[in-house]
Amino acid sequence: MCTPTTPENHPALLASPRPQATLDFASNMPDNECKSPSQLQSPSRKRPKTNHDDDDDGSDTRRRRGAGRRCFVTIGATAGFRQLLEEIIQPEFLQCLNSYGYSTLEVQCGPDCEWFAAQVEALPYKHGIEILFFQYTKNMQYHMIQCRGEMGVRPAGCIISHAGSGTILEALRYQAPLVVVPNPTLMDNHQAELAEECEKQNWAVYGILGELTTAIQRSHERIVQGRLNDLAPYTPAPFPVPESQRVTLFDWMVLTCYPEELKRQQHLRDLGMVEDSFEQEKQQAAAALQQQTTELEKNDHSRLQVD
Amino acid sequence: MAAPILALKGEKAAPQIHITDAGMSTSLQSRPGHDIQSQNLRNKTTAHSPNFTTLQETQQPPPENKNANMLECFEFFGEDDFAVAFFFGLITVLATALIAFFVLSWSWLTAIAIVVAVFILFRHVSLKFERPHVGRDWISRGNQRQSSTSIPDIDYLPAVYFLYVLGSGGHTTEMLEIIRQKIHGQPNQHRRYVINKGDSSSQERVQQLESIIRDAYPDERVGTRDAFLIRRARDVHQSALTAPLTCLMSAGQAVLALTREPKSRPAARYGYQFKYPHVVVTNGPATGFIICVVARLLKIFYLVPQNRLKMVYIESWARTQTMSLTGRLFAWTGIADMVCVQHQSLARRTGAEYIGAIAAPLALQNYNPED
Repeated sequence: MCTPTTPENHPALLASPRPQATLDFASNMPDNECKSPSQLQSPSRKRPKTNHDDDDDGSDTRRRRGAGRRCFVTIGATAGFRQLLEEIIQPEFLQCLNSYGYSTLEVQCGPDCEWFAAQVEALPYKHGIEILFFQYTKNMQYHMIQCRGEMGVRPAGCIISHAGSGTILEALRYQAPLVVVPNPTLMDNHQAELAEECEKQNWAVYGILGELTTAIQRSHERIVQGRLNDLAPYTPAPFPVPESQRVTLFDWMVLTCYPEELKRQQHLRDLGMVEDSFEQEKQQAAAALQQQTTELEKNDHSRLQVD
Repeated sequence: MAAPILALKGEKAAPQIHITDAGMSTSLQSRPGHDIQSQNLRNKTTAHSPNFTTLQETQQPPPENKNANMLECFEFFGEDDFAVAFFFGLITVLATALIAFFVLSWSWLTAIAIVVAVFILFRHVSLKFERPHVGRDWISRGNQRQSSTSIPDIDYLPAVYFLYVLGSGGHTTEMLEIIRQKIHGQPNQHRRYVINKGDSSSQERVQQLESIIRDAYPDERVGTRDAFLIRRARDVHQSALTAPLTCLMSAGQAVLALTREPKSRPAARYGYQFKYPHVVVTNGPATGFIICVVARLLKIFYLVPQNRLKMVYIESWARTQTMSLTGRLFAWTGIADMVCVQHQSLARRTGAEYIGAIAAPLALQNYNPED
């Protein structure tokens, strides 16, 4: 059933720059290889497999957990983004992933899933990268956390996504290294704006179609710079947001429906702010006094020592 | 205090699930529940739909009970005096206009049209100037340190009723995050979510959020909530010819969404305190604009009390340099009481209120690669 003539089966070609990746690839290879022809013959059979990939506790997934870096590509739920999908299965890109120690490339490919399957099938040589793909997922959190670098668990991978705000927000929440690639075919290229802002604020790397290898390189510079490889395990944000952090805009808005109340509350707030500023001044004065006295004491000490 | 009670009248006739907020009793027919389910099923069959559900999902028992516990969904009239009167009145007005069109001379018609237009304009402008001028210093994070006293105390108000308009995809994500950032357990609170009909992923996410809220607060402070399913203003591949028609249809439903009193807060017990929402929050979908236009018209013609239906528009976090189309419409027409943006650069360009990245605070708070 397996096709024995592909270069992947050739032992000579298995020697790749990173021994870890090779090892992992070798262990995953039979599995991967045997699935492929069936996919090619009947695309309908692919569904169960892709769904299986979503499963958190699938044995498949558990086996992969100790593997090398993981690259997750997502193009969002609304529109297809075929250019990006084309880009990520270019040999240069796979080569680049391999040289950075990646072992898995996971793709959420939306409406172009069938097409992508055919493309992956046609690849002559995958540079030791295991390519997984599925159409949509409910459990984005799982896929993204797989790319978050945690100390002693896994090295940081990379999320390559379209520049949609939902995806970016989610990826930033998990502190996974992110490359955003705006989709130029969308209406007036509005995603580019957000991608530029992300680059400016150093939230993510702005990836340009055609230069994704550079983007990966820069993403790894960021990983080193921000030490994203050894973060603490992810803890979700506390839910009832602390009262001092809460967004109170809408509460004030409700108060505008009750004008007397609004007046009263504003008065109270102003009083509170005055009190606060008083207290602050007091503290500042106290701190200044403290500093003065310590300086005086120091001077005294030094004088004593001189004497 | 806000002990959950059942709707007193017409319980059996109403085609809704009605669930009290403590989940004390479940009853009645479940037509909308089935609707949701059948929508889910439909989505499962269409693989290209964005609400693709995984195999995992189908293996789970049908989430009917969960749905029922979480949200009460409205779609239809039910027995609502306001809506019936409103639509009857509207039809009467239109019929009169039609008759007048044939009976009266052109000069009369022009005169009437001018009077109506001037009235609308006058009301619109006067409402604009009634707008409270406290906006600038409310704004919480980013700009201003919050002391304990700058948090308004709204727990003892007779009613606090928010209406959130959800879009799809990123809009929903942002809105839910904003609600997370804003939520405060209080007994006198009602939340209504306006969701596009057929957008089951948004429904599920709202339910997730609601279950989190339920877990986080004691029962009496959770408040009540329901959802209103509304027709999309424009389907994805709809032609421009029929779009105005569907817009009108969703505008009609928007009237219902805005004026339908919540089942869990019946007038028999709470008076008309919960009849109209206090604050309408939207962040970008076209439906949000339609709902705000309808709300404004209702206010212009004195159909709702003047101290209700305050509108807040929050520009998407994704817009950093230019306003979106909806944002420009809001800014240009001035129908929203506040137009807020989440980026300083955009605020500087457009003169809208900068409120900090409230849809993204957690993400950016965590995110500091330098340390």
